[in-house]
Amino acid sequence: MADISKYALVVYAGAIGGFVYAPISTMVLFSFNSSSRTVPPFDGPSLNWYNAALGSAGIVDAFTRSLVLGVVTTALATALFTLAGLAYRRSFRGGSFFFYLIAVGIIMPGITYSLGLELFYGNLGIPISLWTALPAHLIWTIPWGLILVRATIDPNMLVYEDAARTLGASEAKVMRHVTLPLFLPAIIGGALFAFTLSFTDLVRSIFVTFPDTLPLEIYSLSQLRVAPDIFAVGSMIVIVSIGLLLLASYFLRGTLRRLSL
Amino acid sequence: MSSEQGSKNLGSYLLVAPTLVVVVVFLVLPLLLVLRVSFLHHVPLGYTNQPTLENYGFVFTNEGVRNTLAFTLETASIVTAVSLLLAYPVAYFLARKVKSFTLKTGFLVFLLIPFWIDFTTRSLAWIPWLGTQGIINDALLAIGAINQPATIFLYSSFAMDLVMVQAYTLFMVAPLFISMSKIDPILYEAAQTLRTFLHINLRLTLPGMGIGCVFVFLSSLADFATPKLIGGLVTSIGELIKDNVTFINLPNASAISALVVVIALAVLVLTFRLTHVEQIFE
Repeated sequence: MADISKYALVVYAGAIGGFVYAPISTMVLFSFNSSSRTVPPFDGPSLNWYNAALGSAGIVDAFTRSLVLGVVTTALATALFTLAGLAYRRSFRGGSFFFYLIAVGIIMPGITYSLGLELFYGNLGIPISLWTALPAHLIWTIPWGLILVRATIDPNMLVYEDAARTLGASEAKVMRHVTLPLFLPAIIGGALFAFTLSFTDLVRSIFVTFPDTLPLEIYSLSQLRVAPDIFAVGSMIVIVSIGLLLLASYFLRGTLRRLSL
Repeated sequence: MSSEQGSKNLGSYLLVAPTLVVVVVFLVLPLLLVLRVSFLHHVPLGYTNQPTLENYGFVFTNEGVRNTLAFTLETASIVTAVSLLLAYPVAYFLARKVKSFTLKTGFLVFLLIPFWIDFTTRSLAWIPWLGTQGIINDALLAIGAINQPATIFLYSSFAMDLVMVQAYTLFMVAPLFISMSKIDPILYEAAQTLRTFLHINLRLTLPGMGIGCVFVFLSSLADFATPKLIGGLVTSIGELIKDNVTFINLPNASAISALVVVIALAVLVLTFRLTHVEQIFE
């Protein structure tokens, strides 16, 4: 009886896995189609659509903009969520409120937030550019990093710090040799989260970005037509995203282990 | 409070201050601005500083807005309910039956993938499956379940619901998984009948259900891209906001946005209260 229910659960979990992954894998398959079909049958492998996508100045420029914005977002967001996360090693008055305030960036409907930021720039007379999207990306990525850093905090950390101080280490040395190494996996994980979430963001950027980043570019392209070149771009995004995700989960394995106990 | 304690607290404030400045300037102020503009008078290409309730008058009396809002709330409810039903056994399986840590986290990481890619890629990836010449129609034709290709699979509210469920699966599974992992196995051994087993499990996973449902509900509520990309002729409240911005009726866009935020907050507070979400942090 117990065995039957266990096998049923294995099959069920497999089906859910299939539901999540099947469309993504067929999209990757059809991105290699030699004809312009996006539905079966598959007409044989080719790189036509990758050539088309990489030959399109619109797509390549949008990709470059996404990359630049992603890197700057990652650098700033990582610095900010690391500092903020370190504050939560001890409890402090208002700490919980500040945490929820920062987390509003995740919960707030993206389109409403993008509208607010557009109104904000409009009032200040700031023209929309690539850099006006930066605050939207920071507000979206910082909370994720902060959550990861906070989930790493362990009461023992302060004991290690005190031990180092007792042994005569200066505050700077404690920070550099004790505190930061303990947080480093979560910081790297958070940075990888920040880059991917920035690189794929559509909703929060929509009113405050000009010219288009890659997600905005393929969103507007797809309004005109659906062809395998969009599948090719999508497949490249999938491969890069999955790579970053695997890397992030490697660094975050300690944090994940704490959560699943 | 000793002065040493005080200086440590000061350190915490200094560390969190830069992020708070960014949050106040670039999140709190813009949201307050949405609220302000929702009470201002619309003129072509902009708004004046003259206060008015006409935008809310429009939002609450216009039939199009009302229907769109009803449809969006219905969609978010369906997506949340289906996600919860699909995710619950998966979370139970991972938390209780899988022993290997790598397998557990590997599966969770795997479920994050659809959320991890962009809206367009995630939605369009379903075309080979849902199209009139897609895999599902081919299969149904082959077994004789239908005589001609069904058009309801793609560019329909069905497709939209499907993509949303897929996108947010992890955010339902993960909180359930965490609350189930925290349940003491002794409680399961004590549960002799299926009824007590279900009772224990449902009661103790309430906080996980709360977090999962709130995340999925709010994400679906504000999603304008999935309905546009794959929902066909449907209109969501997010699209309505976007259309009002495109046609430069910012006061109307703001009033609809404010309404969405109020609904989102009400759902958040109510669900967190009802499901005792604070227990998950203990």
